[in-house]
Amino acid sequence: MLLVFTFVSEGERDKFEFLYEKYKRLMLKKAYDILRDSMLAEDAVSEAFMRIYKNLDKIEDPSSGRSASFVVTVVKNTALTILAKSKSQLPGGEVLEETQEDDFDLEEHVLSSVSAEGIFGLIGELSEDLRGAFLLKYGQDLSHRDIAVILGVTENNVTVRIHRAKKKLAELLVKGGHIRETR
Amino acid sequence: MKQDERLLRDMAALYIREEASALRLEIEALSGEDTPSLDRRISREIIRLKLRKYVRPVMLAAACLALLLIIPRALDLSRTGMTAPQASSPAAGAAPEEAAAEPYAAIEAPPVGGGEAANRMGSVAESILIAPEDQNDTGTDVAADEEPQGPQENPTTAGPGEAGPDAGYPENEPDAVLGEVVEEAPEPDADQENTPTGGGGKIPDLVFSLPEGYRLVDYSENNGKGVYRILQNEGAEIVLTTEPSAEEPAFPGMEIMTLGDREVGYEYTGDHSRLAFSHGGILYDLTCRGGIEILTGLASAILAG
Repeated sequence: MLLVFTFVSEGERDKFEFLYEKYKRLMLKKAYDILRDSMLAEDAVSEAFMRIYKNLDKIEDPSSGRSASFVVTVVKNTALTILAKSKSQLPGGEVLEETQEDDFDLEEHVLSSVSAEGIFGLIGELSEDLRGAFLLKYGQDLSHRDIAVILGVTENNVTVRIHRAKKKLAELLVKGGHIRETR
Repeated sequence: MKQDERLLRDMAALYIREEASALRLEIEALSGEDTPSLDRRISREIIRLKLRKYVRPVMLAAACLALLLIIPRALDLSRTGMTAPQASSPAAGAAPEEAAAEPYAAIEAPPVGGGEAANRMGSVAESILIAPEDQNDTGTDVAADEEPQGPQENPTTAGPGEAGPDAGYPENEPDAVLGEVVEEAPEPDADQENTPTGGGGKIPDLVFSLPEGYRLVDYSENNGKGVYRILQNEGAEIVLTTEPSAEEPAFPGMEIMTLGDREVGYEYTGDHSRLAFSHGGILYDLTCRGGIEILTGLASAILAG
């Protein structure tokens, strides 16, 4: 399907073809869930694969769960960007307002006990844009700059999203009673 | 913070593991129908990306080749034109070559033998051919830090690599900390527009490069602190205060956030944002009306210095 000469190496081509064949339908579904439009979903998946193509070196094992999470994160954020643009909003440019004063400091607290399902639920409660930035940084070990390129936003925006994600997680951990104070 | 980072990585890894299990089931449930439209589109996009990636270097190489061919010919023509007045008699009704050579003769020094003229053209050609290397060398020399020279030689950045706070500046004098004013993207009117009006006399220079879209408009001093007013293109105004400080800063009442790989203090009071951090022996305090993203661009530029 994909032209051989378009890739630098056979390994690169194989990796990309694997990702494409394995995840294209899943990505179309995820994009459609957000956009509710087949054409826009195809746009999102196409754009997502171009971003993945440019960052193939970030993917070590295309068959791993980590890679699956990566591609899904990219396509969801791409779909959100398209959705926002179609509604004449710019997610990268919006002013992120603090909704409440919060002096909670995660450093001062220790995680008591949280199940895997609990953590899944907690992170799942983050909005898609915050969760995407958070997972790309802490799950995929990418730099702010790389994340900005993958998500198509500014580096500053990535910094702010990660900050808000951490803050939101801290709130959720306290609310769920998973955090106890050490002082 | 290290414990915090480890915790977050563990949480993210757990989430990814759970998500991957769920995704595996989703993939199995999806039918294997073909997606010819998407397949064609992806192929086209990749070809376009590749062409863009390779066409640019090819065009650059072609342009260089063309210059290498054109310049010697142009020099040959010039040399022919330069030596024409000596070769033929300067009589009235001179040949067209002589008429063309007249302006050159006027510009040139007193007529000399053909050998010296040829030598001068040779040295011009040599300087043209050397010029790109010179520029490269200048860049690396500046980056390697010729401290007193650096800021003057590099018009685009007066970064700390060239004149950092440790480069012989006495720490107790705020003015002495600063280097040259930086003009990120100079335009004909930009210099006039960017010239600060100055509330405190001489405007000291910045040791970091202002990011694109920011310009310094005013400066004053207040109890030994430098106070800079910086405007952003979108109209936001940032007040940057600098103060030499050898101590590690505390950020009472402020949250700690990570900017790049540095910890900075952050505060939002409902309509004002504030960032504070220490870098290179200087305490920086940035405030503005609006969201923090107005400040992070400038803060990143300072920390990059």
